[in-house]
Amino acid sequence: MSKIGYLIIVVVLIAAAALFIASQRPQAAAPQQTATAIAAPRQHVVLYMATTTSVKDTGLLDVLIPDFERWAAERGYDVEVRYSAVGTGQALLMAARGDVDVVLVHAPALERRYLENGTLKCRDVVAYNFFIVVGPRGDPAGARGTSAAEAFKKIAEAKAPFVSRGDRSGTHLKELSLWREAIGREPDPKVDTWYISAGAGMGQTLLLANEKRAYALTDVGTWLRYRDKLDQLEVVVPAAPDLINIYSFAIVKPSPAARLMAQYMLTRGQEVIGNLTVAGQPLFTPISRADPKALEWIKPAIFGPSCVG
Amino acid sequence: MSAELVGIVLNSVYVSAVPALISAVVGTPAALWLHMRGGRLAAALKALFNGLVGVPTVLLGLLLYLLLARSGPLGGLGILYTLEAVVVGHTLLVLPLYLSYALTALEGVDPRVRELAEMFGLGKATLLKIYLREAAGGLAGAVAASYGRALGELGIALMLGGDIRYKTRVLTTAVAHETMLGNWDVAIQLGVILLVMAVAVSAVVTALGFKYRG
Repeated sequence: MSKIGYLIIVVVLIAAAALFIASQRPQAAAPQQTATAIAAPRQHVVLYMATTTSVKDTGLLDVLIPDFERWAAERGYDVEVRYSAVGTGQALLMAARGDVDVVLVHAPALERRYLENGTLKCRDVVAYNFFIVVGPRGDPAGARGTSAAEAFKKIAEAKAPFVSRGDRSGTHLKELSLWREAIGREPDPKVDTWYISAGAGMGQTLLLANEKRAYALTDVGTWLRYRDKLDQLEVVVPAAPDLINIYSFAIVKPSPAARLMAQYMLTRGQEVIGNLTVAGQPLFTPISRADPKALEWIKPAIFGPSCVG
Repeated sequence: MSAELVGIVLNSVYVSAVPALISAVVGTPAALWLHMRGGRLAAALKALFNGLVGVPTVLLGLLLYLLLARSGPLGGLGILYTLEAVVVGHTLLVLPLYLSYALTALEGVDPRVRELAEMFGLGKATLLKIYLREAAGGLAGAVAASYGRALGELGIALMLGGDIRYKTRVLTTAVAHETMLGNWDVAIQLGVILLVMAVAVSAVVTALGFKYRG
């Protein structure tokens, strides 16, 4: 029996152990032990969050979550956020099953229903941006210069290819309500061959629309983030009141950590959200910086008890 | 290499090397026992392992997700969306693969070894040692295959790990993420790293297996 064999097993085991410890360290070391006045029991709390793909694809979560964890650590809380980026519909279903503590979603009508059935305990509008309709260069359906609903009507009449998220996300729900307004029904991907149901996140849907030279409804944030890869597409219907896209933060299971996150979202988080830009253009407007006109449009979407105060 | 990339690579190594090692540590005695025992049970289990080799990872991911979700029976563990959950998933994924390969390797050992050992009255421990030595190449191949399978796996890593940046992002989920973002250059670079890691470890482990055999 060669000694090399044993030696190698030992070395590999040590390496695995070292890797395991190394992978643990950043989490353990991150919150500094500051003796603040509000020194709550410093226990490691895991906060589960369900969000929409748009906030992941735009990179908002990448800056927001680490910043929140640092901010919480400064206040004596050792909080770790684990998120799952799915569509708004799925995020709220996860909330209903009790799998998440908080959600960051953008479908006010759906949120109202979950608020009423008790899944969401409280809710705050934190930011907004706009949906836009994008389409192939040259605008084969002649949809430009109209309202979103009229543009949709022209796309349907021309049977021009349209890529739908098809994932019950906030954007998809918005798109379906626009279809109902435009042609009195939701397109059926089985019959309407021009209607492509992607079942994908916003970014991937835009890439698909670019490949197929198709129209699509998108949020401005994802559009800006992907624009340099979408050489076949351009904006057909720009930001308009009926295309406002409102993001809100809601608590499913109240806890000090969840309340802390709600507080963060309306204070320091506002700054972080507002500072996220692509090529100098902000992706989201935090609610604290909303201009009066937009505030008018947002007003109907402010309902339910607030999570702070 | 940026610190983030190093972290992603380390995460990848962690969720592939640990399941491969667990498989080797648990699977080798099990395979030896089954092979020595022989008979219908061994044949049936081998057929089962062979079948499980092809289990769709999304199905395994879904089942584990339902188990580990907070509303699921093992929700209390609180390991969903951690690397540990991915390790559990990958271990369940590669253990049948390891067992299947290990049993094949043991079957490749000349049956006369056993007869000779009995003839010379060698003890059971010596016999097992000879078997391990004779099958070393095949067992090393089984470890390499397990490692490679776990390293290149996407479904479980995505469903149980969640592709959380700095925490549970591994090479495969990073490739998927960058592809979805349309960053094909980065995705290709990550893919090359993935390929190099799979081939290099496989080559080293296989070489060690032959060396051990002598």
